[in-house]
Amino acid sequence: MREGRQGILSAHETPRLFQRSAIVGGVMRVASLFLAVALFAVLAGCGSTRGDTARLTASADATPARSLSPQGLSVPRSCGILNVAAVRSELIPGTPCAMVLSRYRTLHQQPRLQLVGRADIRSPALLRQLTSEFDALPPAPKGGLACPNDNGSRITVDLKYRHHRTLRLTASLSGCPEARRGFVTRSALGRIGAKLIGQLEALTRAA
Amino acid sequence: MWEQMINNMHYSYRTPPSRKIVIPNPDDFNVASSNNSTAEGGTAGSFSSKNWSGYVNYSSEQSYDEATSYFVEPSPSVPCSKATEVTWAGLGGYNSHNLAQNGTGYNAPGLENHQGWWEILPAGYVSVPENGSPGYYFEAQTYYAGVISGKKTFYFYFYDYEEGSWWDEEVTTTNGVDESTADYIVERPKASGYFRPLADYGSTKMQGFTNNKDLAHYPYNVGTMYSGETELASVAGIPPSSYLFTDTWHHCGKEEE
Repeated sequence: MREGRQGILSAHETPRLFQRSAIVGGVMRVASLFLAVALFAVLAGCGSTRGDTARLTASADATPARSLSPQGLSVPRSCGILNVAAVRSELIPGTPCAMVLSRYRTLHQQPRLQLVGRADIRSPALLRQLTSEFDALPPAPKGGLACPNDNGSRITVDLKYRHHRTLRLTASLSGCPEARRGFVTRSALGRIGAKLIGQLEALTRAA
Repeated sequence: MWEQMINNMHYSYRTPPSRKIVIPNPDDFNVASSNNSTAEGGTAGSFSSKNWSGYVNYSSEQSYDEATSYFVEPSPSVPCSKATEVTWAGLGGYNSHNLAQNGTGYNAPGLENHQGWWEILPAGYVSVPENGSPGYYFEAQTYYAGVISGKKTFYFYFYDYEEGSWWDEEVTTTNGVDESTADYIVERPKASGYFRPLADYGSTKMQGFTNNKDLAHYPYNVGTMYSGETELASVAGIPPSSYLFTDTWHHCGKEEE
């Protein structure tokens, strides 16, 4: 809302600026136009983000999503992917506007997965924290690894952006735990990973 | 160096063979007619796994500091690309990501075929200069000696019954220790983040002894390895035996996450 009001004030000021000189006025007109376009884009972005959020909540099936954002708090203004190359190389490129965590476990001796918990995260602080913790995971070891028992349990993390399609990463909870998105894989073995896995499990604990 | 290592030990090394048990001749192995009595009181459950096949002692009231396995060193074939197997005894890894283990491997990255190795996660396995002899018994023991001089200390022991050769190693760690389970496992390991297909080892015989008792003395779970709906390996033998079982390969599976 504050951004919307600033846009209106700017438009009203534009005629006064024209009185200084033609050159300055021309420059300012271009700048003003640019500002107006930028503000429109921001407003449109906010709208689309809210739309995404609504869809996220609506898409939660049997297990209701737990919203971890204070009531009325909008998504971070800065969320997005600035570096497109990061989409190919980073586990979580940029800063997502929201994360939807879905926790699954395997049924006994069946390959099917059962959804056991879900969380819809929009708190900017929590988003930054999780992004930072995912980014801190080390690369997967290149050599061989005899792992703990892997029962197939996992958490999928849908990364929602303002101007980019949703990206999905998967964090395995058992075996040699890892976070994987496409060809980007990080190991969640060790203290850093254990802390992150514990946090993801706590966030998606069935209510 | 050895004298120094032994002098530094705070407990006694056992000279091989470390246990007065009768190692059955693999050719005579027959679970159904085994004289090994029945399980001593452990109760059985089951679990499915993407990477483990074998028996796991568990108990909320019992901690385990020793897992010793005598197994017939497998002589696998590799019917699928990259097919691999490791056979081991270890502590932890069932209820947590903390796992210490030792055993042998076949077609495993970084190991010669049949070479011994130990591992304390999160680090990868470490090879040792002791190899198993295919078709002959091999002993692998993981022992948690506790905190010695302020350091969590594991002891790994390897013995090849064909050659009569052995290797042991004391390893300290700052990683977590999980004494809630003792494990006797055939596994398909991971390499570069992906489970390898399982090498065809046919059937291999294993014996498990936990805290110096037959594995069936304690509660245990029976693990079957799956890839999707495909059963890759399974075990049988306990009961009637209280420590002797077979682990049987069924399928390769595929390289997968």
